[in-house]
Amino acid sequence: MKRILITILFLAAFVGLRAQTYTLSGHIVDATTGEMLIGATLFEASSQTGTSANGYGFYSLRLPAGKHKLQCAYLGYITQEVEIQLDGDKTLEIKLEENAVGLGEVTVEAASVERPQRQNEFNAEMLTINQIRKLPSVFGEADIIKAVQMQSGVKTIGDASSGLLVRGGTNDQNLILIDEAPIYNPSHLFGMISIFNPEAVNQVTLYKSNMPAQYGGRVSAVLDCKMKEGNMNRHGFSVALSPFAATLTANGPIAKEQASYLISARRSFFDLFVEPNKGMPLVPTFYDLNAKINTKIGQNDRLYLSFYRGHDVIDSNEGLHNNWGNTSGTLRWTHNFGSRWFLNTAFIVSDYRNDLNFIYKKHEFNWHTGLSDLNLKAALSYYIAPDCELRIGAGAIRHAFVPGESDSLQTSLPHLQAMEYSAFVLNDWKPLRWLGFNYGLHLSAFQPLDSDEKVMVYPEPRVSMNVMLNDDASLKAAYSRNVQYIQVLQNNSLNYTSLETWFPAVNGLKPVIADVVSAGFFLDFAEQFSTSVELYYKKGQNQIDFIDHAQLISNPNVLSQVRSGNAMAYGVEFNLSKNVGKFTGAMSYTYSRVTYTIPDINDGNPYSALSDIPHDFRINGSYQFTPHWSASAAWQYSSGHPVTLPVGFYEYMGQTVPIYTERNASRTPAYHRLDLSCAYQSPKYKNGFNWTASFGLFNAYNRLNPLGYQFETNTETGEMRAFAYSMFGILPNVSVRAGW
Amino acid sequence: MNTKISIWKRAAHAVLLILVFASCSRIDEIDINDFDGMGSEALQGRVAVFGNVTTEMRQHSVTLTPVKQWNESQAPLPDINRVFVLCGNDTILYTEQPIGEFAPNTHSKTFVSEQPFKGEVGKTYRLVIETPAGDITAEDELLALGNTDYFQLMKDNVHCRIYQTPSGRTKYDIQFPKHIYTLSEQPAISGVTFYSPENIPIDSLYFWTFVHSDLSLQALFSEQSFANSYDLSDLSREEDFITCSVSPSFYSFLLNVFNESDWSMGLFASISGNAQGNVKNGYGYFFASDVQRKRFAFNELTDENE
Repeated sequence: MKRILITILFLAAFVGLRAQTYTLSGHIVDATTGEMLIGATLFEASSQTGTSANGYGFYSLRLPAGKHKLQCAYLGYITQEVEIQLDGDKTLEIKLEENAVGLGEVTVEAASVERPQRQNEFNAEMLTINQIRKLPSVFGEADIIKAVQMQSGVKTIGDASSGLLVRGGTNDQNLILIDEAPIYNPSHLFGMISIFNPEAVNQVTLYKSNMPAQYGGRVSAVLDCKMKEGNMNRHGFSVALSPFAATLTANGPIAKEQASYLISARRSFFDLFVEPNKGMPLVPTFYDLNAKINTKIGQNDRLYLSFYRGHDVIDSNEGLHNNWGNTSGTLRWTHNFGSRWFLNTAFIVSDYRNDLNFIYKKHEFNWHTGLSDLNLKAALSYYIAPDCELRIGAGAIRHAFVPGESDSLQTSLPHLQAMEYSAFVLNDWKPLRWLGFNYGLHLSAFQPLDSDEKVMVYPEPRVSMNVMLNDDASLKAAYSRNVQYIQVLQNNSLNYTSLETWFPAVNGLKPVIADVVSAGFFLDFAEQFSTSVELYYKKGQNQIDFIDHAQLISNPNVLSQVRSGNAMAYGVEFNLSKNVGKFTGAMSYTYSRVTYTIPDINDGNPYSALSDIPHDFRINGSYQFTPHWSASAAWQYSSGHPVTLPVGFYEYMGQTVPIYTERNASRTPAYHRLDLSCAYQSPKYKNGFNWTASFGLFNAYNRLNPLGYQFETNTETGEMRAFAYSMFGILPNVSVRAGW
Repeated sequence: MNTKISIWKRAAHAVLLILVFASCSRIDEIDINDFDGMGSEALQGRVAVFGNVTTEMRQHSVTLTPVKQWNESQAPLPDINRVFVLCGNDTILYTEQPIGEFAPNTHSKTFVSEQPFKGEVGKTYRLVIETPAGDITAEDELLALGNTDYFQLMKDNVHCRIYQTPSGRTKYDIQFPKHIYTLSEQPAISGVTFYSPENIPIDSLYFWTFVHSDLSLQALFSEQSFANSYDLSDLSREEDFITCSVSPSFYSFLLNVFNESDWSMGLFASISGNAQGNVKNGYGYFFASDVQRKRFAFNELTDENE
């Protein structure tokens, strides 16, 4: 570890000394709202030097003394040229104007400035809320998770699920963050809608399997979601209505250009109109509340306070009552030490609770599960040179688990506590114009409390390399090791989520370890198109699965139902996208396989994991007919998912008993679906008022995509009949949004 | 005016809800041929075995039923050369019973011991079924039944309704809970019980049934509860319960048979898998049980309608 640090510092010092330069630093913001533009790029064409704003909107660029012409760009914004005379370190806040008519020709240059070819990071996909709004929605609600599911390498099962199966991973192997706070269940309505309120979200970045060293704790992916900060200049309000929910949002300055607030509340309608009855056995309700305050303290400090609370309640006519929700809060302080040092410190609380209550034969049954975190972390960035950033950080999380608790001691599991520590060092460095590295080490440790178990320590090296073949093409390769100490024990074979029971690596449950190597070729052509081919191979250790007949709810010996073994996943992803012009769209094809080999399951033989969906093809397109009218369509086709179905039957004591072959040996019919939508966006009136309306058709050709199956014997013929349950047929939706 | 707007809004919302929910949760019959991997294992000629040896002196029986592939309504039984039970040096021969008028499955065959006999606690019984394709075998040790004094039918657990049929006859509708013993008060959702056999002491493992229904699994693991209708004019107001000891593996088998019979893929469903019996080259379970009987009087019940 010490050697690595010394080497990095030596290299950093060498790079820093190689030229006489000054530093230009500051923030890149929306000119109207003052909102940070995360990932906005700053590029100096003559020297081919550039940088991008970090996750907090801060940039730092080292340039030689003299006059420079810089291009500042962000997708959906008008590219701005900035001329600057550098004769010393300088601070500059750059304000970009939003392109009011959407993605037009103006932003061609913007898209061409910061392209994947130039980034040393690998397998990162950034989506802005404007991009997400262009995709067809499920219930008229623009949904971040649904947009992420459109990315290649990301799979899901069934209609409208919030599950993310990333490159052979499981739902619980994704670190889902909202303003740096982990969300342990991202689902409303069992997953039909995600917890991310589009009115409160600024942008989201998905890291597929190759996470930079600052991230840890999950082995498959990171979904890093940033909330909006609120308008620094004027107050704004918006109302959004969809068939299922209403959202009210307010934001504005607390002190002009110094402090702002954002508050957004979303609530579903169901319970206002119906009560559980025979025709409507389940009535779901959900709400979200997002709030954020941010304030500048002097030139170099900013303080942020974010809050999220979401809650679901499901009531049934048979007395079942299930409610779950996440609560999180982040207090964050950023500080610039001069123009080249940037510090981010955060104190985070996160809480997930799931309560199940029902009455059975006059007995009330209660079951609770949950997880609470207290998290303190800090990260320091040092911009050594124009193309060299050193980042170090450390953090500690105190986890408190309620793995399963009921009124009966016989069926309750003891509460558990654990500490998860992490430290990282990361260097993003371009030693040559055509060669770049993003490498580092994430060191993690897990300490079960109230237990004699030893502290587990794992080094997790991460490295990615970028070789630019020319301005339009690059080759990338990466390796990363990720370790996950907490896992979900959930015994359903569906991708719908609600009863997540998080369990730490104690009492024989080992941490999951995943090693991933990947490589890719990226190419831009004809000025408007981007294409890529990416390959990956992933090997997992201690992957868990459940024995036949496993029962995990209210089982005090829950770990006896779990086995662990090896996982193996590989795949190739082809992407083609057009991000500029009146017509934009993307097309992807993925071939991938996922197998598990776990003792005691499937007789120890390899078997397909739930996410083993070999073929996956997606295409979506959006056309801007006029500045106000646009239409979009999305179609996806994927192989069926593995399922364990009976191949035969026999009679025993009056019961018809199924005979299965191997675990997940059958495969459901292929999944395909077409979604359509069109939208009208009003002009922005003088008083700032504007409105949009969108009309959509989910599952436009009414495809039956089965979610579950049931077999019944025809009593007259003795033949077996199969029935498929599907969630949705064709589903029209209308939504309206108005804002000031 | 406001009222009209309100009505219009409600109507519009109702229409939207109808549109949404009309398209939700559809159930359609499907062709299983659409699934890949179905019928990948040849089940032709396979046999399921149900048979037992108990501590009661009687002729014991073994019933063989054909295993059907998912797309078969009927399947033939293979030829059976001989059926017998081995215990130590003793060989107990079984002979095929003629198919009766009320045989539950005309494709099944029942073999009955040639002589009455009773099993003994601690002994192991091995069933051998000789077929041209090879022997089908199973064995089980006869375990002693634990203390069942606490095994009582409590009024709180048994729901009774007395009613008159249209023809004027008096009938009892009685519902018994799923498990009537101290560890039995386990709730269930959609028929899935929330416990595993390992949570129950071994000497508490047994199942029970009614004498008139023979060894019917429904008495133990019926989905909701065991319901039966008694015609007061046809039946006495007393009923025998048979309590049978079972091994942990047989208990697990029974539990899994019940759970798997649902094919439920819902949120609360367990992971699908075969109910592991003890029959080699076949399916099902051949078990040995220590048996006790208890008499239960109907007149202890009170009509809940009253």
